Amino acid sequence: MEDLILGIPGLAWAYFGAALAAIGGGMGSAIGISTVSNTVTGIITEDAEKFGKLLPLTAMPGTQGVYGLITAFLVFIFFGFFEGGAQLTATQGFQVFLACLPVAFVCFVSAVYQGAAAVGAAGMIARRDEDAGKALIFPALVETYAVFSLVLSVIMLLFLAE
Amino acid sequence: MAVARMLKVSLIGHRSVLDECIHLVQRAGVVEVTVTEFAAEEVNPLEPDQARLNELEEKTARASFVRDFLRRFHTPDVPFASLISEKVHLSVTEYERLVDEECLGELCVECDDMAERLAVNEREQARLRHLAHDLAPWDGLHLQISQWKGTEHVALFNGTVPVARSAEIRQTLREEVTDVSVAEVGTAGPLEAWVVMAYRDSLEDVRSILALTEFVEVSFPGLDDYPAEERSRALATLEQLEKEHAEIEVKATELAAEYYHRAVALVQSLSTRKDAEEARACLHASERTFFVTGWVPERRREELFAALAPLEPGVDLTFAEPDVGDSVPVELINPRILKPFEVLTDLYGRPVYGDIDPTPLLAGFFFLFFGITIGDVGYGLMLLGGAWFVKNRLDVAAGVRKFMDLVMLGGISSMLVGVATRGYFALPEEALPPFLQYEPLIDPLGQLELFLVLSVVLGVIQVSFGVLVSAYRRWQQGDVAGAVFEDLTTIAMFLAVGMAVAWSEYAGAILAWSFGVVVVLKGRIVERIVVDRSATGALAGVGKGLLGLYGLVGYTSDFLSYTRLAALGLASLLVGDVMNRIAGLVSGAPYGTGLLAAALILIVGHTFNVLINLLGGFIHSMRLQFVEFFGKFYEGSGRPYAPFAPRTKSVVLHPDPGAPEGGA
Repeated sequence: MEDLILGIPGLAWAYFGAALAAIGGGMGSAIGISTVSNTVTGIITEDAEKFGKLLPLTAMPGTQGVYGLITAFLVFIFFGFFEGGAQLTATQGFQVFLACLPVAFVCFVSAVYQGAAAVGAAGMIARRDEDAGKALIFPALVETYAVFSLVLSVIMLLFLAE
Repeated sequence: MAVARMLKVSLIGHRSVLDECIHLVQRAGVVEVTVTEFAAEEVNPLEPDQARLNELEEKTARASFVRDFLRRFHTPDVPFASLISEKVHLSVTEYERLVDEECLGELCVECDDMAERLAVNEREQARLRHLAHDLAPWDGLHLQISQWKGTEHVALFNGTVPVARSAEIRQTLREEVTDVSVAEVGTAGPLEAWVVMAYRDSLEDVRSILALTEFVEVSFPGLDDYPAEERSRALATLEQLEKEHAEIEVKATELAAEYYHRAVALVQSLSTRKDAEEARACLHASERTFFVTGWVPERRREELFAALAPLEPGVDLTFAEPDVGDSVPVELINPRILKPFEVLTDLYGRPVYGDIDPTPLLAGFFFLFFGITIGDVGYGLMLLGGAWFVKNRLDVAAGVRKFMDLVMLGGISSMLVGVATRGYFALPEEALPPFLQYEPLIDPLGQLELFLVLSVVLGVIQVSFGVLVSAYRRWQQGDVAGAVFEDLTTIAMFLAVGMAVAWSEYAGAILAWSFGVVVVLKGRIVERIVVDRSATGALAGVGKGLLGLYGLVGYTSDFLSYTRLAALGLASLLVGDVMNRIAGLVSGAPYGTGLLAAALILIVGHTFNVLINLLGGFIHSMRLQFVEFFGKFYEGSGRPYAPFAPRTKSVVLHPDPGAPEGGA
């Protein structure tokens, strides 16, 4: 009889976790970037010379999507998905799923709020473009927790792989 | 490696050389002019020449208008123009003469006329487009608009309804009112045109019923002819207006090509002249002399002497050390290798005059941290090459060149870390040539725990260094007790935790004894008992000591914050690995398309990875300096040195070839 948790086999739980990490990070990044983009395009309409200073700010919430992608690929690398014939019991698969949750949720929330913080920073650049460097710092603080969630997910996956 | 020594300069001169003196000081660009109180009889503050100021402001407004108008039609001829603003290159004399040769008066009138014509043209085009759109449903009505009237007993009015709701509205109307007739004239897009005729007795009922529907009454005041004729006339006029608009744009583009750069430079030159006029407000003068003070870096004192040499003996300079309480501006002087790291100090804020310049303290850490976050020889080379190209091949501002130096150093650091981790475009060992298949010092993926621990150890080192710098500062300021009881006890606390980790079998005893000592020292309990002889003071000291011990929680959070270095390093490696794997998956496609797609994926993918990691690596390495490191000892509330100098935004000034030194 097949080993299942809530009717789902281990391999599917692992896929579910990897997908959720990529979805959470990716959706958060998409929302965060679009939030700041709406403001930035308005500023550039008024002053096209600020494009170069505003671009890093707009790209900033994109890193959470990368963290989600990394977590998904770590699942594939650590558990032999690329080599084919990956075998996971339902318990192991469920553990992999749980290990992906920190990135899935924290990266989503972090990217959305980083986008909101970046809107304020974009306003700062619009008024005082000489402070473009300082403006990058505050949204960057929001990302700290996305990095921590990545560290935690990576450590959990590492323990499971061992 | 420090904050530059500043001198307070006092300049006294004869009034006959006042204007020339202001000009030469501004051109030298080494003095930050200050407003000083001067209490002496027959000496009064100078006032700027208001008439001259008004004239300059008027000229600046005109030049700014011309610049902004022509910018709309100017095509920059520099590469990456959307990222890098175009620069105008001039000699100093050319720049200064721009104001006197100003010939934008006629051009301003021409630009004003063109701007007005364009605005009127665009408004008229918008009106005609709207009219043509509104007339479209009425094209089939063979009744002149002037005849859209009722008779004595019958009212006639026109309007549109949505095609999809037409039948429903007509049905509603007929159910409620019998004396009404609706003629469907035609449709255009989603709208259908109606001519509604009703007995005047029923008019109110008809209108009130239609008001509840999506019927929109339409009229064309000022038009008399058939709708189709009027529409065709509007479209013909529109075509003519578009042609005129294009002609004006061509003319404006020609003007932009000829005058845009000149207008950009002129705005700056006029602003420079205005600054010179306004600087008079900082001066004091008697009947025959004037007096001004300012700040000059000691190392640039000779430049000021050289600049004012042509006015000798009409001016006299005296220098003095800053007084206590003076708000001294800060300039940083560092060796060439450390100069790029000043970008980071400037981002946070310069130190107060006389305080430590944190640039050399953070440089090594930032260099290493940035390298860890990228950690690849290939990516390091890309950063090095890209930054070198921007610095040396593109016309960028001095600040951008300095930042590119920092990126180049980051590239070198990434290469060094890449060699240590055997990172070459994130390729696996078997894909590397044999001479690169060496055992790495650390494998970020295979030895991830070690990588994480290493990043925390780096955090412990930097935070401890920050605490030691704080102790040094307190010691220098005479607060020896603070240095010992606040900072050195913190280091002792770190050592105790380190020893407990190293000798875990004695951890309990080590921590109990050392934390006890730390509480006593941090709370200054012995001092309170022996010197103050106060029992309540001693109790308060215990509380303070315990609070100091609790600070260890904050430091632990600081140390953990450095795990981001390992996380970002891993992110760089894995995204690169993903690109390599995807390229590997598609490379087998037939007819060479696979190889082409793989090459494209590798180029775009690795470039994306470098750019996203440059952003992350720079910001997070910088954040560790600002939050975790600076938080221990640095305030950064100093005032940057801002010399009185010509304005050069979007303008690059070159020295006059063969011009006499300091001459105008």
